[in-house]
This record gives sequence, structure tokens and C-alpha cells, in this order.
Amino acid sequence: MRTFTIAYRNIYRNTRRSLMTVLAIAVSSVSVLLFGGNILSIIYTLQTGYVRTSGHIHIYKSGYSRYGATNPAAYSLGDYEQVLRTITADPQLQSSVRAVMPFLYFQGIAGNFAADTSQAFSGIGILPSIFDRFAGWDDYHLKVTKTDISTGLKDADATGGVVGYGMADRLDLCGPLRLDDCPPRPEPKKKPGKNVPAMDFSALTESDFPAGTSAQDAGSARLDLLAATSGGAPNVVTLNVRKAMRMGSKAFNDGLIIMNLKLAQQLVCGRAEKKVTGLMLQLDHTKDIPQTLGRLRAILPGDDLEIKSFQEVRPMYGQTISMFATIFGFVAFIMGVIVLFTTVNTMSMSVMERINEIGTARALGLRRSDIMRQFVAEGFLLGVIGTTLGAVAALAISGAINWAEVTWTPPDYATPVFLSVHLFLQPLFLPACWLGLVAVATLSSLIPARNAARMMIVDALRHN
Amino acid sequence: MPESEIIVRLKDIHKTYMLDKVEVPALKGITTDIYKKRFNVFIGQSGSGKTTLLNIIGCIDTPSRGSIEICGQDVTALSDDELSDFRARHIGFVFQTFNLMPVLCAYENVEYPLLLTKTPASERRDKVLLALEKVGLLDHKDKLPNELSGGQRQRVAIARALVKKPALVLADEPTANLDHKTGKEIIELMQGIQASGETTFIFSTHDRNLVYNSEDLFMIMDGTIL
Repeated sequence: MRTFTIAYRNIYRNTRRSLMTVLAIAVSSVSVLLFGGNILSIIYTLQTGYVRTSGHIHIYKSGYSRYGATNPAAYSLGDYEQVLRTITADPQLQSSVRAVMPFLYFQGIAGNFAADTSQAFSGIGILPSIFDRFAGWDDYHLKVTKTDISTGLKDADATGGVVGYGMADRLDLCGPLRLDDCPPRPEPKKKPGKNVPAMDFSALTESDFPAGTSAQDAGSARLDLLAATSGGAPNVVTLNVRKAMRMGSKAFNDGLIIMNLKLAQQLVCGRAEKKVTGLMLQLDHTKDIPQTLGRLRAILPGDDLEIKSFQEVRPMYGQTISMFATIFGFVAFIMGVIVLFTTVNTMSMSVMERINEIGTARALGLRRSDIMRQFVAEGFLLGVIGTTLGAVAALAISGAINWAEVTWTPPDYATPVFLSVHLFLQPLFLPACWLGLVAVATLSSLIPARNAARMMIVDALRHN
Repeated sequence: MPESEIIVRLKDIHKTYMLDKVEVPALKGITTDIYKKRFNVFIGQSGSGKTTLLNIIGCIDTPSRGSIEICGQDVTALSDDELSDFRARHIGFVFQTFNLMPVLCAYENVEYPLLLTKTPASERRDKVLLALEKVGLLDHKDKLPNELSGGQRQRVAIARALVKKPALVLADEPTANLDHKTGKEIIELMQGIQASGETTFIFSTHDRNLVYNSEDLFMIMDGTIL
């Protein structure tokens, strides 16, 4: 049977009605695709941000995730260099691991005594060259922000570090760092009474630095960092702030200091054994996480170490995906309902107009199932045409949005990110949406098709 | 006439319709035989039951009571799908209102029954062109029904009914929507085709003048054959 030829001609027969139906399906298709494409962009941008700053896999001392926050000294990793050597020497891991880096996470107080300012901070000690290599990860070829997220620090620069823009502003480092876009700072009112000069702890740190380095380099801003050592004693080091960076999250932008691991260990470990919080591994591809986790658990002592993916370390990532999946599901459902009602309405009208034809076709020998197939084919064709038009339009619109490089600032972010729509980040996304809407249009025609197929032939032939 | 010449055997055919809650008898125990290769005419006034009888013979309606054999097959025992297949193979229809598929051209309308019987494409083309030639519409084969006159449409319908060489062609008042002259032409065309072929025609009309020379006349009145 020429089912699709006849279906196409019947669609073409009532051009205006078919056009409206196709447009409704196309608009639904565009909405689902653009919204889904934007959600995919957000999710993959989020993942890229996490992976660039903290890798795919973290290795901690066993128990760190439960008790590390309250007792970091007890749950720091002492023999991390041995772990590092085991990882880098493993031939299986070499094919998937892009970079491995020890890191030390701690908290303390940063003071700019020249400006009489101080604030609590979160600090992370890293290996600058590897950290900047992390920042270059771009598995999905996404343009995330206009901002350069590499620190620019040198491994040999033992006292160098970077701070967030917000922190630089709070600690009055805008002048020394030559930051042009800091908001103007009001002059502090002098308190009456004794004028006590601010304490400068930098002298305490001089003896701790290797020969040939000084606590403060010329041409950089200086911060004195105060933290408790693993033994519980207060310790102070001087950080030469090389630049202020725009960090993604507002919390980081206002309170994070990234510094050389050596300086962080100097501050936190003092003269004791140099430990780290853990190791972070960055893989070439996120999809390699399960097999890499398996391999790491096989070659590393499982009882002593916690090996976690970034999704486990940052549950907010999974929660964000769940939230967006729910919203997308709701929007897709609404669009599906629109397609359903539009198609049911169109097909019901079509059946009503063609009762006599249905009777004739049945009299000539068409079975009920043939009649049903005929109308379902029309619903299918309407779905295919509408959804394909919608997909083409969505591709064009997404291209225009990405080309325009529109930016927006997500909640609790300090820097704007690109508003982008990517339809191919998940290879199955576009085909699945296409198939889903075509399926809805096809299934929508089942009820009118069933009504058509169940007509009594003589009644249908009497109808004019 | 020998039994083997019977194409339709009607035994005590009753048909009752429900009009709201009132039973309306349309056929009241019709028993008759219809013979092969004849031009049979059912004549009766409007409401006499001839359309109901043709619908039952055409297997598009079922009797309330009684049995009907067509080509030796008891069609009252067939399922809906089997009836569809039976109609596709053995019965051609010519309707009062032509009932051509508006989205198909004349050629495609005639081809339609052959698609149902899964006739091979090459054979199909020859049969369609021959059928259109018989009704004199070869030059109009690419026209849609709305581009044809009433008489031309009915000719296409006749070609469609005949193209699969059915055992039986049912024509329910095929001239009712045509002027007298065109109606006469259509009847003569059908009679000519019937005379030169293997097909049995069953034709219904309320106009006796149209079929005065028919050899098999059945007079229907109030649901019975007189």
C-alpha cells in the first residue's frame, strides 16, 4: 500500500490546518531542544569547572570525608609521594590520567598590615604548573568564560600565590595589584585615643624561607597568613600575591587563596612531616572515571585510602543534574501534551472530514488495521515534519546564541559565564528528543485512527 | 439454470434497523438466486430496501437473519478481516456519489484495488491502462477527481470496480447524480462491459426507463422481492 504517499497527500490537502499543526509541533520541538541544549551546556560547564579546578578523582586518607574537616591533621596524607609514584608508574593509568597533583587544603587568617585589613580565608596549596595544566582541560570544547583561569604561578616561586578579586578588594590590594575595576574604597575614620601601629608578623617568617628568597618580592602585594599547624601552634608565612583572579564561585572569589604547595606545607606542617590533604587526578575524559577508579582501588591500599570521584566529593553536581533533569522533564511533558492535543485535534478533524472515504476504502477491501495504519501514518508524518523543522530551527537558533556570546551570571557566581546551547554534548539528546516528539505525535493519532477504523462501513458510506 | 451458474444465493434474508427504540424492518425474508455473467437490475422506490440488499450482497453489511452465499462461500460465517479480503478479491463497487479518493488521480484511483490484492507493479500498470481505455479516460488518467466531470468520475469508478476482474460488480444507483443522457451512457457502458466479460453486474435504480432492456429484473417493494 502507498500508505505514506496517501498520508502525505492528505496532509497537503488541508494546508492551513496541517501547517498550524506542524508549527505547533515545531515550536514544541524548538522549546524542548533549546531548553535541553541549554541545560546540557550548564551541566557540562559545571563539570568542566569542577574538573579544571579539582580534577575527576580525589584520593584521601581513609576517614577524611567524615572526620577530616574537624581533625585535618589526623587525616592528612603523609606518604603521598609514594602514592603519586604508584599512580604515575602504572601503565594502565597512563592511558587515562592526564595529570596528578597533591593539594593541601586549610583555613586561616590573611592580613594586609600595610592597609590594616585582615580576613579569614580558605587556602589551597598546589603545584602551579600542574594546577594550570588542570585549568586547560577542555574535553567538551566549551567556551565557559572570558576569564583566564590559570594562576600563572611558577613552581619555583615558593612564596607566590593568587587571591580572588573580591578578596583583593576586601584586603585593599587593588592598588598594589593595579586592579582598575575595584569599587572606590572609603577612607577609614581614625579612632580617637592612642594610635597603636599594626603588628607586622613578617619578621617571624624570614628564617623559614630557603636562602635566596625573601618574604616580600618587589612589585607584588604582600599578605601575612596565619594558621594553626598540625600540632596546634599558630604559624605565620608571608604570601606574595602575584595577581587577583576572577574565581567562579562568589565564596572562592571573596575568600580563597591559591598558593604554592611548599608555602602551604610551610604554614600548616611547620617543621613536621610534610603532608597533603590528598591527591587530585584529572583524566583525559570524564567517561573514564569508573575504570580509573577500579584500577586505582586495585593498585592502592584500599583500607588506608579513600578514592572518590568528583561527583562523590561534590554531591551538588549530581543534585544539580537531578534538579535540571526534573525541570527538563516537566517542560518536555508540557510540550508533549501540546503536541498530543494538537495532533489529536487535527487527526480527529481529518477523520470527521473523510468518513465517506473511510467507508469507500473499507468497501474496496481495506481492513480496519489498514485504515488505522493510514491515519497513524499521517500523525507520524506530521510529527516527522514538525519535529524536523523544529530541530533545524533549534540548530540555527543555538548557533546564533553561541555566536552572540551572550553572558550571564549564575546564582552565587562572581563572574559571568557564556549563555550557550549545545545540542550535541550528549550524542543521543537530539535523536531522543526527535524520536520522543515523533512518538507522541504518532501515538496521538491512535485514538482518532481507532475511531476511524471502527466505523460501520454502511454508516460511513451514507455520510456526506 | 444449473447450480454452478449461481453466483449469489440469498436465503431468508432479514434486516432490521433500530430507529431510536423502534425496530424498522428493511428486508423481510428475501430468498433468491443471482446468476453469473448477467446484468441484474434491482428496481424499487426509495426506501424499498434495494440499497440494504446490495450492501448485504456486497458484504459491507450483515443480515439480521438468513444466510448468503457468494461464489459458493457462506459469507455470513466470515470475520471482518476475511470479509475485507473477500471484497478486495471478488467484489467491485460503483457508488451513487462516485466515491473516488480525492487525493488520488484517475490512474491511482483505478490502481487502488490492485494494491489491495498485491498485484505486481508491471501487471498493475497494464490492467489500469486497459481499464481506463475501456471507459474512454486514458487521456484523463493524471487528473484528480475534482478536475473531472460527474460522468467522467463515474467512468473512473467503473474502471476501478472492473480493474481487478471481480466476480461481482455492485452499482447502487450509479446514475442518480448524473443527468439522464450521461446516466444512459453509463448504463450502456456497463452493459457493454458486462456483455464482453466474465463479470456479473448487480445494478439498482428507481428509474425503470433506464433499464427497460435488462434481462434480469428484480422488483423490490417494502423489503421483499415481488
